[in-house]
Amino acid sequence: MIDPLIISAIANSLIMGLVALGFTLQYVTLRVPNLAHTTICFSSAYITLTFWLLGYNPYFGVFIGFLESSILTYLLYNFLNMLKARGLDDVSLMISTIGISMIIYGFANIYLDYLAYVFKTYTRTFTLANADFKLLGIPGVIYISLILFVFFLLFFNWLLSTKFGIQLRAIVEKPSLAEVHGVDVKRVVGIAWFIIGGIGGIAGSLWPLWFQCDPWLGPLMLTSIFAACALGGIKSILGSLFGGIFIGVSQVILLSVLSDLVGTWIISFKTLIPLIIASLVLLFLPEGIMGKIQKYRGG
Amino acid sequence: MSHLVSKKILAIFIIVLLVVGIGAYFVGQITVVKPSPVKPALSGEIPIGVLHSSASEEGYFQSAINIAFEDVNKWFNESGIPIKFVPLIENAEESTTKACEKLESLIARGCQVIIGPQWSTTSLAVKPIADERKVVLISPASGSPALSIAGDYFTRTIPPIDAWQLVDVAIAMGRGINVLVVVYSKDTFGETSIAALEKIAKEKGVVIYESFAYDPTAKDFTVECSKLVEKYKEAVSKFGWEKVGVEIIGAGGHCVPWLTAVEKFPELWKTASFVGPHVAGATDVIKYTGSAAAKSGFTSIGPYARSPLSLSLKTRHKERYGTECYTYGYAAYDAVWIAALSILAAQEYKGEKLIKVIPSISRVYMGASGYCAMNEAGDRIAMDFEIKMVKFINDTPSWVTIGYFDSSTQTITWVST
Repeated sequence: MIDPLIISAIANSLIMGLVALGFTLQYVTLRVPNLAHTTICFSSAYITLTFWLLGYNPYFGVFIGFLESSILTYLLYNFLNMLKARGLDDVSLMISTIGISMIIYGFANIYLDYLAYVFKTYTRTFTLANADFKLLGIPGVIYISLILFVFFLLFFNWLLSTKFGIQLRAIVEKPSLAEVHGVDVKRVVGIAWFIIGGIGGIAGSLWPLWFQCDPWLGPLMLTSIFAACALGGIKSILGSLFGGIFIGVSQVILLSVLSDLVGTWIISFKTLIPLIIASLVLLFLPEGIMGKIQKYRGG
Repeated sequence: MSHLVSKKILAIFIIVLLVVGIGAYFVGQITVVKPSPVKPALSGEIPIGVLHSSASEEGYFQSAINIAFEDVNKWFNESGIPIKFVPLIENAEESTTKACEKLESLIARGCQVIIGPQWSTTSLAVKPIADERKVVLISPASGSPALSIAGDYFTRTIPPIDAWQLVDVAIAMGRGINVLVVVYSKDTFGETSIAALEKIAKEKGVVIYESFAYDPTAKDFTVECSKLVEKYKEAVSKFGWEKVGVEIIGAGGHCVPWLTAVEKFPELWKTASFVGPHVAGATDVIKYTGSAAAKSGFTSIGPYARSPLSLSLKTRHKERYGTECYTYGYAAYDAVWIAALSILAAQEYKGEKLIKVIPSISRVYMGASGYCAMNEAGDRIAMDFEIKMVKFINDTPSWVTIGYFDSSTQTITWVST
């Protein structure tokens, strides 16, 4: 049987990686950090809960979670575009995403109360780890998240080589130039946000199959995701994936190693780990690891 | 001639009588107090604030508070008292800064008494504002001894944490345990609880082999559980399996994630004693982590009252919400009643008056969580406890009562199951 620490590290890192990927992609396409991203992603955890409460396999929630998160993200994108058209600067747009995050948080609470009312159970805090299947003693969430992670890596690799992908890359480089060359920037970025949101939603829908969920989970995860993107390189897609994996693993394995070295007192400072990493990265490596590598390659 | 004199005297006499009579009438008007019809000092809608520490605490507490407000308003209506209490609900969202803002908001909307908060950390944060603004807090769950201050505006319908830890130590001793491995949440509640546990354990001859803190905001306790297993195994190798127990100190909302982590470590499935956060009878423990709870013999405590109100609340909560009333929900129910009865007794909705009335109301109030008498610091003096354990009953995890703790004798009466 595999050590639960390893399983926890794998689950944490894969989910973090997928969510961090979305955060970076949204940033590079719109140049605005979407601070509602984690709230939207983890809202799909309630879809998983709903299917489980209805008596279905919670993995059905993955597909609906993709749609729910995609639609919310797409609507947010259009909202931000509308505000941008009215002359709001990037900082104001970023702050408006905080407002959206709070609205979604409020609706999450309402929805969970509704589920509690209908299904006669507590829903504000839940975990569905017991509902997961096991294969060779390993929880299903590990297999599913690993498969999806590899799938999306390959998917993005393929997508970026298509016409759509080339247009997207052009927009990321220079939106104005891409527009001059006939690229419908709004449409391409809108589709990108739809897909990105969906991927985050898949990650969020898998979360309760190993970890605890509550309405505040989304806003709370923002620090870790930001740390992941900062570490990998805020403008690097591959970097954010790597950063998410690193942060996810460090929160489990690094913490365990540190507690062996310095004592169990360090365990209570668990949530400081991503903050410390983010601070160190911003101080000494502001372009992130991938940014440094690209700089080194570019000369 | 004499006839004329008599007539004159009679006329003068009548005039004098008239003057005196009329004068007396007017003087009487000034001095006589007319009885006026009795008007109630308070009437209409009175807002009572409810401040939750987090979304999960709101999920646990609000149902019992809803029933309390309905019961209170129904009683006032049936008694012909023209008052209706309206709950104004706010959530601190796990932030002490937001808690202070939400408290100010409730005060601005006319609340002079607030039910809550639950977490000791939140209570400590908002208490200075409540004291300054002379607004009463009645917490149904904050157990930190740091809140035991006479003359302030903080009261609670639970005894301070020492009373709860006394029960946990009594459970360990009752099971023959004299070594404990403890994990506690790194917040005011956890830190004051471990201090209380260490003090009581020392007095009773129980050794705390190892204790360490965990981050209460974490959503996964796998690492913490792995360390707990490590320390537990060390203790067992030194003292023997039958002498070592495990205790987790934390908010009720941490129970499900902890048991989720325990499920992953078979070493914790067969401890001699496994005592956790105070959530005896909680439905979500069975719903989400029933298997782990039953495997590990998860034991917890909660208020135990023999009052008809207790049974009534339990039954109605189950009928309406489909779940058992949360352990501390009984104390929350009583907090609402004490607030309402104090307002009625004070005949004025002002915190300054209410804080003087609440102790005397609490002394005569027998509620859903039992007899709620408070001391001069506003702390509930005593509470009896029910000890429950999760066991497999016909292959289904279920809460089973295994004992009762009597606060007056400080002993446990074990129930054979």
